[in-house]
Amino acid sequence: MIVKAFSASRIGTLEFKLQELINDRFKPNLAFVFASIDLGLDNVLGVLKKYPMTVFGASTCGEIFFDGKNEGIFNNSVSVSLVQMDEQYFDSILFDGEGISSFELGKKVGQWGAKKFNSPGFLVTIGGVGANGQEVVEGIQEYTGKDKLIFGGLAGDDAKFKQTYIFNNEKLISPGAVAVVFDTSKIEMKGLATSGWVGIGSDKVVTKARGNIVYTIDNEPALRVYKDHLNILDEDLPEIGVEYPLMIKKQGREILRAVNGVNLEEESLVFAGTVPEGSTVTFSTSPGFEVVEHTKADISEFFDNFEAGPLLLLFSCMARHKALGPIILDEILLAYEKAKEPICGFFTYGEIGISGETGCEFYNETFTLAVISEKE
Amino acid sequence: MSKTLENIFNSLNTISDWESFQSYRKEIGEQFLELKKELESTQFKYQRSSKEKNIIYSLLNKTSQDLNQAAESLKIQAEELSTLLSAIPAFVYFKNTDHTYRLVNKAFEDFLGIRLENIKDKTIRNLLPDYDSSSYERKEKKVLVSGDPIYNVEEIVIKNRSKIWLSTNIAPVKNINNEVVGLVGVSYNITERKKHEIELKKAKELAEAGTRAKSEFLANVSHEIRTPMYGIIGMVEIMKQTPLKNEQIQHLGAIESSAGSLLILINDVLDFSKIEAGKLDFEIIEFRLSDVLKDVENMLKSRADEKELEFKIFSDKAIPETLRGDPHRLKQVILNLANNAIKFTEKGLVHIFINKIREYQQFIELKFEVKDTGIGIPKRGRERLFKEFSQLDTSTTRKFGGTGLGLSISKLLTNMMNGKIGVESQFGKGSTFWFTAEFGKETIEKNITPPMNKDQKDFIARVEKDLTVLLVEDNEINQKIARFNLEKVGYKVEVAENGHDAVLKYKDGNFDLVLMDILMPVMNGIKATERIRAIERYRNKKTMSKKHIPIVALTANAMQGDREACLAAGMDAYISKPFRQKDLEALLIKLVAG
Repeated sequence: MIVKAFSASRIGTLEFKLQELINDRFKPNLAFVFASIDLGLDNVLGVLKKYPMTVFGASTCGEIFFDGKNEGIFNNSVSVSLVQMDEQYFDSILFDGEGISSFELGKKVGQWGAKKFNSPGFLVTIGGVGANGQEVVEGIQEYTGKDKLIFGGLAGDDAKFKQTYIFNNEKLISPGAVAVVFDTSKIEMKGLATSGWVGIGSDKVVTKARGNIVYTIDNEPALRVYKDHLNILDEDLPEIGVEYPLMIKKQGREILRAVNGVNLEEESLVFAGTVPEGSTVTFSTSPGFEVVEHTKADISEFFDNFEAGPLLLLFSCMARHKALGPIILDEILLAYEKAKEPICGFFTYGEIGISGETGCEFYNETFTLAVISEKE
Repeated sequence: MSKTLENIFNSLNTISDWESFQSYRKEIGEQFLELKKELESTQFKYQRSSKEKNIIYSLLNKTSQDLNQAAESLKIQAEELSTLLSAIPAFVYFKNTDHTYRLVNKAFEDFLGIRLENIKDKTIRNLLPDYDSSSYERKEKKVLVSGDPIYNVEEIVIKNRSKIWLSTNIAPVKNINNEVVGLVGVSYNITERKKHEIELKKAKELAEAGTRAKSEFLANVSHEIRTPMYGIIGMVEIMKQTPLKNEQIQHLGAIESSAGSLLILINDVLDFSKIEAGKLDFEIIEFRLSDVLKDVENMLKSRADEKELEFKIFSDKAIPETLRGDPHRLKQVILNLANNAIKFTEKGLVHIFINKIREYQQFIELKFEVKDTGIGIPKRGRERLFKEFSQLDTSTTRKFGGTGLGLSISKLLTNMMNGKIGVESQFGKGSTFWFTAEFGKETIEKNITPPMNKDQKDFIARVEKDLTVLLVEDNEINQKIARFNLEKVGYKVEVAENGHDAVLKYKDGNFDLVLMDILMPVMNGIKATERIRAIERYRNKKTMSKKHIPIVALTANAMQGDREACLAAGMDAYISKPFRQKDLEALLIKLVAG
């Protein structure tokens, strides 16, 4: 497996870099492309079409690329990771999500991947504001079971929460999903997801909810509860709300759910993942800028136990970026130091990864890193 | 940041000329970049902090409000709980898993006379050292282990040398993970209740003993009173069959009439006593209605003739011959009504009608009417008619006699026969007393009678002519009457005066039949029968034969339970005293023929 990654802030530069890198000695068949909507996604596609490679693409809330020599965090740009690998060990597909539920979309991905390989590992990116990341994961797991690895993230749109896109080198759609499936008997997939957010405030109960829409909390309209507790206005949601996700407490575990959208009429909130009715929740926030130390410790531990690989994809929650600002670079820096390979990724509206032993899940507010390599 | 600035400052200081500036330029550039980054971070942190501060403060404020509210609710709940506990008159305690007290209510404190501070963390052993609490603690342990409550644990606690009964419900206290973390007990002082229970038990035993005594008394009294009565009647019967002068015949008639009335009165009083004791006997057997009616006619015809009243019985032909019910009680009711009719009628007639009202597959309902042309009953008298002890007025009593019990007993009896009783009457013209009763119909299945063997056939042949009878009867007069009736037909009679003699005579003799009285001194009929049967079994075994001597009990209206005792002892049938020879014959044939 050979990986070459770069960042480009103009379409021209993108074209140039592709031309420069792709030649007789390096013919990538798989490309990970994370681009800002402002750059012009059609233009990006226009450039990519020229090359015979499968594209896994998503719109972003900021792009990540770090190889030790640059800023690492970008806007209005495109981060690209080109991969040359044995075509027998992977496949990629784009699914249209129009008119079907997130669960159904996930099932399509799962069914496809499970048919492809006996032990499939997935990379998924999902487009469409209002998509329920958890249901996509559950849909995939309907066909693969809970023990298969899935990494990925929800596409972003620079904190506008209007429309997010996914694309391959032929189509650009919303809603939908792009998936890459690896044969994990030949390809090693591993990774981590770490957050560090803490709960703050008293416990509340989600009294009415359906899927990823919460109608009432403690029998009060959810939107009102959020505004009252955070002392913010309608306009501040979901942008500010996304930084103070609900923390669902369940059987000693805590899972974060960030607000993605608001329904002013119903006074309800749309979250990036399922918030089950009856859940006990609190608000949460980063416990200070030191939370980065927590992430760094987890990253260290990961690389102490596992080898790095040539392909490193980072799905980092845009809320982390908002909350931590330039300090978030420390995390990326450490990951690069440990892995000694370039890191390519983007700021998402939600991440999919693995944390501990409970199998892959949908998260918010995490630093989720996927490390992929060929098995010996 | 200050370090970086320091570095920059130091670097700048070392620059003295263009050359050194060139060499440090890159380094200074990097340091400035570093500074820029640090400034950006600091700026970000500052701006962020201001923005975030408001939000965090708001969250904290809201949280404080929530917590305060929650604390308020808890406080109110705790107060309510405390008030509740204080108000409960039962003793409430909370214990830890090691049986030490955690919390008790006021009632508990008052009961022990110890305040909570001195109860907490102690066990019942510490507080009541004289009380052996091990069995109670075992129950508590069971609740702790099983997690299930136990209700009504009774114990006796000694306090100030007096016994106090407590009934406690012990329940587990569980935490949010459903683990048992303690016990709660609610005790009721049931000393009063227990005392009542004990007294009630005593009273019940007394009452039962009383009832038993009453029953035995009634049985004895029945026997003792009736025996001489039957003696009188029996003797009169015998005398009637001897040559007499006209005057003597008249006197005998008077004695017979008086004795008859007396007997009826005695029976009424005895029946009434039985009603009081709840012991009125009633049996269901197969009988012929025509036999009952014939008896009634025999008993009343002469009286009616004396008063020159027309006395007739009209019975519906559609009524089946054989019915199931109590023929004695049926006779009693008809006699009661008919006797009254004759009593209160000076001229005219007394007619009895029996009609079928309804017939089912297993039951038949009949209506009996006794019509007379007597004095009639005024309207206001009719309600009191069927109440005990009442007569229309005392003048009637003196004129017509009676205890006033007859009609109320008849009412009870008709009720027992699932019927009703009533009267239609016109004062001065006459009355019709009526009653309905339900009877069973003859059972369809008839036991297949096994063919008779030689012995049985012989027996029947001789039943009509000569049998050797062992008569066991202690009362001299009854002996005489019975012997007279039996010898008249041609039977040979030997008499034993008690059960003991009866067994001896049986052993040595060769009898065809034993007539056994029940209540006798030395050895009663039941025991004697048991002995005789034992001897019979023994002899049968030795001779490999199956002899079975009929033993017929002579009853003077014994109670139902006695009948069972007779049959259990080995008697074959019973006949009531005084018996008619024809009745005995019929009974014997029935017995042998099956």
